[in-house]
Amino acid sequence: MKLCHNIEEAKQHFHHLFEVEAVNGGFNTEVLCQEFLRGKEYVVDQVSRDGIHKTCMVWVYDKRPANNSAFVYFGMVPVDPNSMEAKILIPYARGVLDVLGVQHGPSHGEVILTPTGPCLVEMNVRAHGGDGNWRSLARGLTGGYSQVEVTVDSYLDKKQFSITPNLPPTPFRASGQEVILVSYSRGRVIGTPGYDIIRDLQSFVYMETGIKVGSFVERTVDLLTGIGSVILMHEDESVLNADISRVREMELNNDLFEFERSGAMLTNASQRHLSEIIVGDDF
Amino acid sequence: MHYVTDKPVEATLPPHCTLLLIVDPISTSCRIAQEASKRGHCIGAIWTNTTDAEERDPARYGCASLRYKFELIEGRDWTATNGKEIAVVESVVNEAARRFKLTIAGCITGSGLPRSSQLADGLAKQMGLSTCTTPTTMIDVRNKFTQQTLLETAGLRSIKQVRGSSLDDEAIASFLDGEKYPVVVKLDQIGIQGGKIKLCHSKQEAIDHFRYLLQVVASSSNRTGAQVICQEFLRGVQVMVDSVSHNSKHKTCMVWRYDKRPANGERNVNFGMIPMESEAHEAALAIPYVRQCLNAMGMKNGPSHAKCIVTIDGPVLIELNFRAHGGDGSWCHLARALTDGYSQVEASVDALLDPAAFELLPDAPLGPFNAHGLQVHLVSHSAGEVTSMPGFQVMKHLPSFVSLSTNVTVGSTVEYTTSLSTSPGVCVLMNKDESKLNKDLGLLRYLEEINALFDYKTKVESLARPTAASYSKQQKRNSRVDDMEKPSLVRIYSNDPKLTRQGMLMKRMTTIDASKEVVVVVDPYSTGCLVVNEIRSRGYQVIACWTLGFSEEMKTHTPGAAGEMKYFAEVDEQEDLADTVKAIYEAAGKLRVVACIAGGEAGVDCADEVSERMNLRTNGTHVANRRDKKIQQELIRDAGMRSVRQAAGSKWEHVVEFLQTEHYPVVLKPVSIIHLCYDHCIRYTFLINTLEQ
Repeated sequence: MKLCHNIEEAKQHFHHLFEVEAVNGGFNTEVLCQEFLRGKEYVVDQVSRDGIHKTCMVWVYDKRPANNSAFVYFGMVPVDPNSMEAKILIPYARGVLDVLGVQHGPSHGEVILTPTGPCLVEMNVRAHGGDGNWRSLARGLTGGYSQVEVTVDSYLDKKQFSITPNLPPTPFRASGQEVILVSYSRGRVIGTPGYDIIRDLQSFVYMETGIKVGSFVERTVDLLTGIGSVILMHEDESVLNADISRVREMELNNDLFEFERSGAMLTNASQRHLSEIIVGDDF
Repeated sequence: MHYVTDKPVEATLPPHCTLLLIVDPISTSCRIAQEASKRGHCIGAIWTNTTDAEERDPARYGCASLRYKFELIEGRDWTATNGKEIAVVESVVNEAARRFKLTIAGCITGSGLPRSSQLADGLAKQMGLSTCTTPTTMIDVRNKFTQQTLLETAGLRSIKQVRGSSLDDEAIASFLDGEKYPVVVKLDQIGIQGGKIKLCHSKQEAIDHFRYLLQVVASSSNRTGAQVICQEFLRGVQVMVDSVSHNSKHKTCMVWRYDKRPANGERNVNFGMIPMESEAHEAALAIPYVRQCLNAMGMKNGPSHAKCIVTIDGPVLIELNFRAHGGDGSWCHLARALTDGYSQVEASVDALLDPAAFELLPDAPLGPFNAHGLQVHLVSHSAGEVTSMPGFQVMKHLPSFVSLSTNVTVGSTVEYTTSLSTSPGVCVLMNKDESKLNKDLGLLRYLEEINALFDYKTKVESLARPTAASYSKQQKRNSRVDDMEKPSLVRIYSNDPKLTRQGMLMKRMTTIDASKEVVVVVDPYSTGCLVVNEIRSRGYQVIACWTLGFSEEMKTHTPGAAGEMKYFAEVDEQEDLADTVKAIYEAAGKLRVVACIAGGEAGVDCADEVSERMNLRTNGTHVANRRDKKIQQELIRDAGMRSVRQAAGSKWEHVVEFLQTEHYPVVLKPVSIIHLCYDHCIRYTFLINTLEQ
């Protein structure tokens, strides 16, 4: 998969794709060429029953440049259903469900809001994944329900589904978001002091990370090199914002992890120069 | 039970060819219809215009499963012309019986109302069937005054009474002079406004009330010609004798005693109905007396319900109804348990359709009873608009609880109980152990006393000085039905259709009993595990179905929040859909499969196929390759919605036009994306397409 900037590059990659797939097993016979969608990427989580769609939550990905990468995921932020974006996205996503004939169960739509309107990236007829780490956040924001409960309602509890609100409440019952941790440094971890600080944040709800003592951390350039995610939620928005700033600050100062000092790898040129001078003095 | 007979079997018609006609089968007679239907007989209901659609619904009387072979409704299927009512109905009935090839075996009345009784008797006579009473047009044996006259004629103890429309009437004057006070003064017709019954303690009081009633009659809009009755006041225990007759042979099914006590300012409030053993003093006196009464009134066939008072000088009949004991037959479970297998309902069917079985029934219930029990008439010592019924929940959990019939729901208005019509409901209690029964009964009465049966709507008035806080708008929590009631272990709901219908003893969250139902989740991983836990927390079992090629590693990919996953069973997707479905059914065993849900992206196709095949809630497979991103874009484009501009092909010529006209950059990717199962990975694949620039 590649973003091609001119027709020559496209032609080269078109033929390249057939070769690559042939090596992998040879089942690919077609290449898809698509316009590049510009705009923020939104997620619309809904549940349907008998063609009635209930929106459980709208999220927007917080993507920013970092570590020389144009788009690094910094978080997933709930979108107020009363906002202009949501008012455009929700009817669009419901329209997509109708067109695709999705009448029952959960759906997880990814939509980019382009300058020419919302455009579907993909519609998944299943619950929002990510191990459901967002569930406690969603429950807090809505005051008690998330896509998980509504999914079960849609199949097993008609009455509860019917009284589930059409949209999440506005304003939300709390302030919160998923913060995806970004690393600006790399190395083998020998300590995780930042975890304790995050756990002690007032708005802390949940943290998931694969990094522990002994893991090797890369600079974050995409989701696979992301170091974990934290759910923060608090009734006071200012507390939440202060905590988010604190996390971002720790990332920038490399306070999350203590790294193994591996000689030249992490020392800069001037330090090396200094050490040489000291050595020289000994002689 | 009583189907065993040592008599030679007579050549009779098989039950499925016989038809039992019931005129207005309401209340207990609906249960009689159900009992006959259970024995294989067909039931034809004839409805007069005294009933409405709601009353015609068998579910109202706890017989939801009863199906009538046909229903003939007055005004729809037949119309009575003057004096030819019976002939009209007979022809309609005969035609229906011919159509269904049925032989009419009996015709009874279901309600005690004169019209339906006369119709039933008339039809029975016309068709040569056994009739309830000796049909006569001369006198109405259902009239209470006539009944007393018949008793007097037969030389039986009757109520001393006189009837007239003037105080100058000699009989009345001598009655008021000679009778011991108090006496009862009332009208001989009910339903006249202001025509109150009064217990008069002196002659003057009686004369005054007599005059008052005459005025009421004179001023009533419809001049009915009603007369005033002066009656002796009977002191004693009121008993009810339920009998069933066949060819003038009477068998007593149960004797009940009313538990009447003063309450809410009323002298005789009914607190319950207690079954009496046939050997008990009052029952032993009442049973033979009631049989003589039945004979005196010409009762020959069918159920009857007699009320009498056992006074110091013997029992006196108050009224005799030529129908089964009413109250929707809520007492019949109790009666069956006490007598080891039969009640007036079963006996009535025996008498009508199975005379041999009727012969085998005991003459009167044999003592001692097999259990202890009673029907409790709830008494409310408070009034108001009901917001909840906490007492019903407690009642339902009493060890002796059998059933509860009530009309009170949230929003109903409960009044102080002073009569049968103001009672909030009827509850049947029964226990093998008398002490336990009494304990439960005591608790129930205590609930009534402390007004714990109902919560009432209250008007909140702030007595304290209002503060800003009392005006602030409370944030409303989104109430989930199961928030308060998350089942810790089991959630079992009553299967009793009657309770279900009333919808007040439980929250109807599931179809029947969640613990007997199972949900199939295809490829439960990631958030799917949370869905599984949510389903299990509602009492359902879960079968995990793993699709072909789903890796063992992914099966163990459970979020930390989900904990250890527990499945009722795990099945693997088979090459053939039919085999997969078969495997699921086998795994479910006796449990009912109620839903099939995808637990993750990998399971969507399989879940759609399985749910469609198993006739469950499904998105179906009518949109082929719904998950294909390219097809998704094409479908929404066809529907006129904004979609990604795209072209695909296996040759350069297929896409060159698009690539020559589209704004750059463009994204190129293979069409058949190997499905990455984990959601983050899916996000990642999309990410790459925006990153590689």
